Amino acid sequence: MASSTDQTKSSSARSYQLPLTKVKSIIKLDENTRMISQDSVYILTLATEEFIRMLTRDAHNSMKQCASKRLDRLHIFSSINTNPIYEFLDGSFD
Amino acid sequence: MGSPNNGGGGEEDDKCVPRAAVYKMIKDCTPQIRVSGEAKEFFVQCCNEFIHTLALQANAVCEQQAKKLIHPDHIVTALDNLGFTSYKTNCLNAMETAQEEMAQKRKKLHGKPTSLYSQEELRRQQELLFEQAREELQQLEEDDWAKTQELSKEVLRKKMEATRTDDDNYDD
Repeated sequence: MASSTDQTKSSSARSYQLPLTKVKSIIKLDENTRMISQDSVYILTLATEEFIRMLTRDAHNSMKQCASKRLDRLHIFSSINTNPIYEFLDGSFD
Repeated sequence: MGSPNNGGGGEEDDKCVPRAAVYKMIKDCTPQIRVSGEAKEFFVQCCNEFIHTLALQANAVCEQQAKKLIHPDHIVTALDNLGFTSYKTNCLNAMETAQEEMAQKRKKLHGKPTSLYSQEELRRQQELLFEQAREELQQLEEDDWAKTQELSKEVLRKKMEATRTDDDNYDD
């Protein structure tokens, strides 16, 4: 039975790029947050990765509009101010 | 879960998503892109902020449902509440895959036999052994009976002979 290879395959189906332990410790920084299941940490991590992708795309568009050759903070700022989805980031930084 | 180290600025610096991982994801998205150091740092901060916001919202959803443990469902609802509905697809797919994995693991665990033979096979073998034992016992009993019969016949014959001899004596 090729169970060992199957197991490797199935565990790699859970692919993520951000470390789960780090994400979990960030979540736990908030005193008021209750216990969170490991599956939830995983899902949250995936959502964060999706966020990175989306923000990259938006910031890249801003960059192209400015005809810049390098992605700068300003381009990210511009995306935050343009798209209402990033409202939660408003006022969090200088 | 109040941590005694909470609130310290130094602690928060350690609790960031790793820059390298974030940068790798940006490059995977747009390979030709060049990113300033400040922009990378800003990306990391945005990530942290996102995690905090989503976790807080999920916590609120969990509290509303009077649960003590934050479940993936709460995260998904939180995404909706925050307007990140488009992020749901990835998460829901991942949840499905994770559930399938769990089901497969459970199947493997419970389907495992404790011996080399199945229950059926074991029962069959047991029946065979019983049958053999029964036959052996029957044979023994039959042998026993035959021996007893022989012995009785012998005893009877001797008795008969003894009686005849006496009769002969009387005929004289």
